[in-house]
Amino acid sequence: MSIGIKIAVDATRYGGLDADAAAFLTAAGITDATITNAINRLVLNYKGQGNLNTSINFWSNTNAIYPFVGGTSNTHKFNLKDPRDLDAAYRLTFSGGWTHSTNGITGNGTNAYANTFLQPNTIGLNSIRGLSYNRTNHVVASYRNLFGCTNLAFTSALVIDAAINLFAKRYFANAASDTGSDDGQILGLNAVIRTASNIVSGFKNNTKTLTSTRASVSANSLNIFIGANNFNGTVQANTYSDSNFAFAEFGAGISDTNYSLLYSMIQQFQTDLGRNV
Amino acid sequence: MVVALLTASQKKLIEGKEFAANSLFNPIQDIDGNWIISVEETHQVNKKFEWVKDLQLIDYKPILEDNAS
Repeated sequence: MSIGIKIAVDATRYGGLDADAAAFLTAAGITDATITNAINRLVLNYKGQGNLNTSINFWSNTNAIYPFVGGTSNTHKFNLKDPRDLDAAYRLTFSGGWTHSTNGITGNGTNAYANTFLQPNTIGLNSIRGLSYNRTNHVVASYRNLFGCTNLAFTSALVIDAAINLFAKRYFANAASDTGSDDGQILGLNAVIRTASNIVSGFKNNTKTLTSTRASVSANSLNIFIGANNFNGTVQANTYSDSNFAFAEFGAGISDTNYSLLYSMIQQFQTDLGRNV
Repeated sequence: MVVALLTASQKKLIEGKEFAANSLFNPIQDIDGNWIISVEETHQVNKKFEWVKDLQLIDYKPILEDNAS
């Protein structure tokens, strides 16, 4: 006689749930197994201890990671890097009419933005990056901001500015803007990265859309907004995005090779959650 | 697209106030100078601000302005 025994093994329990992943999930009140596994795998990859990344430590050079999981404003607000419910932890505050769902946060193109409380001068003048993962293109045919903060003269900013189909994206990284080679479409991962005083790069997914020698000017002390531009302390009219954001993060500049690795990690995270584009 | 019309005093009353968990009202002006909020905000309000559900809805006419250059 034989007896069949079936044992279900949770990958996170088998490998152990990372302490930072656990802290984030606890703060957000998330117990869902799919999200738990996806967050754990993402954190391990950020730390260079994952299935895609075993050597590069992105964790230490990243200030804020917004994975937008759990489907509510209460779960979407937390910074994976520091999940305290504080402005000082770069926990998001949402303003205006966001829609929260399992696909992340969706702006209304009218008055919705999120305040990160993170400022470029906290990150660095000549080493800074901003990324957002967008699941839908803008509907409106004028420039809208994926994220941004800009001084009065537009000479010091961290912004990606995109208008669907009509114009190429504009990238700012502690300087004025450069125009990328793409057509303003934003499906997937959008990134602006400065790695030196005279090196700025733009990316859409794994394609480099900008190579610029524009010199850095200053790293301003304005809070970075997601879904609109913080124009010297107030939201700039008509920069409100109507896109669906499934991820955003901000940190130090990284090489093209490391960006490619980071893209793979974030794309895997979205695939784990069944919301990749 | 429709939006909810506010008086100036209603705008002052709700601006920056929390209407749902970790979500703040953000009244803006349209091209005619009207103060408005989005219908998403009116749908998500807590009991304290239920009165915004009764605001008049008007067509949204955005301010025409280029942005970052």
